[in-house]
Amino acid sequence: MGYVAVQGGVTAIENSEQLADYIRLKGKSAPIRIRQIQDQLRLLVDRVMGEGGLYSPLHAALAIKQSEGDPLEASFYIRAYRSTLCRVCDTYPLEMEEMRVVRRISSAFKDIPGGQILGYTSDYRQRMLDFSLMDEDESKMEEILEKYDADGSAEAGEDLSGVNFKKVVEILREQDLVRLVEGKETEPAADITKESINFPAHRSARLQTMARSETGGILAMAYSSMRGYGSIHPTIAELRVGFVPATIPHPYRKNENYHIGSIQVTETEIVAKFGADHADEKPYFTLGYGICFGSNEVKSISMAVLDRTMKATEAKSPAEDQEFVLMHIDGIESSGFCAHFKLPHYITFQSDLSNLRKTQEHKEQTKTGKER
Amino acid sequence: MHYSQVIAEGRIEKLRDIADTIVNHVPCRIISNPSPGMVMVKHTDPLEKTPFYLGEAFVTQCEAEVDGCMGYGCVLGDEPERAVFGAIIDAVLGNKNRMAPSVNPMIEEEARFIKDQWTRESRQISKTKVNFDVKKG
Repeated sequence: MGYVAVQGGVTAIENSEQLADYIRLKGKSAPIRIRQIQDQLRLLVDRVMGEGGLYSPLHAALAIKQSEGDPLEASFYIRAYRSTLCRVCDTYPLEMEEMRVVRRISSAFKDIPGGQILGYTSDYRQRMLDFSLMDEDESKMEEILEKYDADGSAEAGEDLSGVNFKKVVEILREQDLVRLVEGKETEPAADITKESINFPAHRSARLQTMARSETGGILAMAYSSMRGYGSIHPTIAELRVGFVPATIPHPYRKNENYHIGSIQVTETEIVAKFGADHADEKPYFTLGYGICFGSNEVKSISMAVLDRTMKATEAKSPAEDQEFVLMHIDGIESSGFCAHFKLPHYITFQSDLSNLRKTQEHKEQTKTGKER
Repeated sequence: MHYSQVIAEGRIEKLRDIADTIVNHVPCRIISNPSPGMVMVKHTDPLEKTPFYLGEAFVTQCEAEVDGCMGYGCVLGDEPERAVFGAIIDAVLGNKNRMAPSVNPMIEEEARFIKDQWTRESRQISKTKVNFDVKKG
């Protein structure tokens, strides 16, 4: 390793932590309540839950407060906290057809069964600062809520609960444009929280690694492919955000499902460039799948793109190389490694200094010898 | 709607009312206090049917004995009260205890409330349904 153990400095470290608290509070603004973070910074909460690998809006909000809004640090707190908890059991596989859809769009088709539902999105918003938020107070918040309730949306709109949101990929399959691989459901899934990932990685390990990856990290990898380091040309067949019921086996009564609550997820299915396994075979669109906790569309899309790129039989670009992608998208690992450079490296650096001086001396001597 | 869904999604004050009704009529004791834990969320990729783990979810779980019947409560989040009420209700409804006829209508009423809420939300969301026009020329 590049660093050595050091000791001492306890008082300075304690003082440093007190200083951090002082700097956070010296402005004497009102304390931020956890509930406020949950409600009003929900996209950040979702991101921290996903990257920390633990679905718990409350703890994610607490971690955000504790880290002063640093998502990498907050996710680290969540990842550390989850390691202190006992795992009760696995849920049954999520039943996506039971999803309460709050957003659903397709970039592939204008008209899709069930329709395109924008839900809540900032996609069409101009990226200009909204100065009215500078003096938002409780009365203004109340006014907005009352106005929304009073406009009759709840009564006038369509009840979507009975609508069949048929998957776009399913339509493509019916038209023989994509092939859905069947019959792997009984395979055991790899669990990267228990066993380190090996390469080539099983697809279950790839998907799990990406599901808890850092948003910026996975986006950078996917963006490299989108820009041309690789050529899969993705189109979003469908992107959904919604709440999916989670069920577990009842511990006392066999074969009984026990509902524990609903989990919000963002799910993306992409179709990418078509191809065939062999030159004489019929070509099909290829597919990629992404899903993550909460509302995080950039991450879900990036995951779907990389799911597809990593299916390449021969990696011709960084985004197609499983090891390159999967070993560099975890926020806790990458930020931890980056942060470790702040630890004392005194001895190794002394060694580097010594080596450099010796090399310089050697070069000088060689030069002098040649001149003679 | 299964009663466990009502436990997980219903209003806490209504669950308290249901649990109180049970506790006031039959012997009840908590076997294990509410405790935190997590479940691993399993998912199957719909494209290739690959099962994989999406991540873990924080839960609170509890066990109770009601009128000689064991009950289990487990809910997402840090919700000790809900887990206790869940265990009590599960003991009655999961074992078809003699209190079940009194409890069922209360559960059904809350199930209707939850569905109404979801319908209300979905009607609001439906107003964001879009039909983009393709530009000509």
